[in-house]
Amino acid sequence: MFAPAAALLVLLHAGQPQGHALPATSTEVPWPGVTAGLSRPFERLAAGDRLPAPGSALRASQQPPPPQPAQPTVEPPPDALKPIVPATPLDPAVLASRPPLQLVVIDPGHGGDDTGVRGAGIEEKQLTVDVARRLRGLLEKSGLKVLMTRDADMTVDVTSRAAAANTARGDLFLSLHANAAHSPTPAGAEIYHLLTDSAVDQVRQQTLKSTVTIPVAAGGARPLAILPWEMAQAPYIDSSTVFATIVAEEMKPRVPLASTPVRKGPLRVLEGVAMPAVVIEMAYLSNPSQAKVAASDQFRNAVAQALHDSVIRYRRRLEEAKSR
Amino acid sequence: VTSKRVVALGIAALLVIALAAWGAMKYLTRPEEPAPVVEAQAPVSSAAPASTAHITATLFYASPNGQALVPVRREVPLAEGVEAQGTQIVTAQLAATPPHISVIPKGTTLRAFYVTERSEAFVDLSKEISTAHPGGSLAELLTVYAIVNAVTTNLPKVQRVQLLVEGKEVETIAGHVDVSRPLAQDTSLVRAR
Repeated sequence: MFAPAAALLVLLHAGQPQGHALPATSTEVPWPGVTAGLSRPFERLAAGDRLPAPGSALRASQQPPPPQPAQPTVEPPPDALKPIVPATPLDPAVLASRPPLQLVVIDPGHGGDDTGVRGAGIEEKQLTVDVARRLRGLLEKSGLKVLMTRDADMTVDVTSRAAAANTARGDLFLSLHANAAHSPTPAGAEIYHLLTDSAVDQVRQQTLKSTVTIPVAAGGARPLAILPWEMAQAPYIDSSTVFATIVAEEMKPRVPLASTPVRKGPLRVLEGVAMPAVVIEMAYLSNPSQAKVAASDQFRNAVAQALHDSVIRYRRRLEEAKSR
Repeated sequence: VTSKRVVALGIAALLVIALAAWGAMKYLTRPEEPAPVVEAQAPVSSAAPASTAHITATLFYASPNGQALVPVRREVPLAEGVEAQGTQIVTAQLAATPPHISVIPKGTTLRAFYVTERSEAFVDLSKEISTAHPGGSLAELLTVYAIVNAVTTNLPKVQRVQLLVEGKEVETIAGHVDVSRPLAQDTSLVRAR
């Protein structure tokens, strides 16, 4: 069913749609090619920094986090990861007081050799990173941490983008893209969340029931649920759908929307992301008039502002749910 | 007298048996006469070459607004066996047929088509499926599911379809849709004409 190359991802990520990211314990960048905010380096989050969530794919945290360094449990992408920073056991009461959304992962689509869509002199890879930088500035002003999967014209494969988000233990994943069609007619922004078919769901159910036991440095062992890489997004699809709807609503008064603004599909970049995640196709560069609009600062600022407001609105929703 | 009577009865009996046998042979051989069979085969074997026999298949093209697939009934050559028929269906799907709006990049050809015992079809396409693709999530979804839906709609034996490029498994054809595993039919992208 799945590609032999599909790595098994041990879902160390204990988060859920209402995950609780904690202050960083390191200032390392996850790995080369993954960049952080312009104003400060990305602060790496520690393993075990999150409370276990009922229904979460992660079962390991049913036990208190070990006091000693956790084993690196995320299978490294081609660019080898460094071991995850040791976690310090935290008081659950302290954890409960943490904001439900702290780290936003922005994924500017394409880059490097992969230009993406071209239209009216615009390359998708340039548009995505430009809007991503604008969005990062707005989010940081609102007190959120931001991780960008690329901040330069460089090639980053799809799997590494998801791995970067998971390793950083992000709370929300926004992948920015520009669309194309087989005719010049289509126009408007679209927001995608993941679609899984019935067979994938069956695999998901099977894997959710299975756990493995791994030794910990302090002695003893801890059980971990494992999921195929393609299954990482499955527990978050409902949250992703909610966020996609919010994005569409926030974009509607500011930029043109497609006739079907919220769509779903088996998008590769979303499958391995263990947090609510969407792909935002900002405009159709295959439509000459849309490409011309997309070149303007006005359009790019409008998209960035709409996405910022979507994140803030989603965070407020999580906070309200948490307080109930 | 007695012996003459016996001989006469024997001759009569032989005549009766011979007559019955002749009648029986004539009756029994009638259904095996080739004429009706020849008449039935004539339209295919002689009047029409096998290559022109066809089936009516459902293929998929872009809708007028470019944001969905529309089903189109088209005749494709009849072939013997599911793999040969699948080859004909995919070949027809890849071909540009104006005025229908093709969702297949120009120059894309079929390298191979085969079906596994698990009812999964593998469609091996030339590199143009990737290199000539316009990109974008929607365009890629339409391309992938035009092929997946064409195969699964017309070949009931096939449950899932995996795309290969130049004989190799790939993650995506243009950076978006996961084709690293067999995909089931998705009719959510299909609109009535």
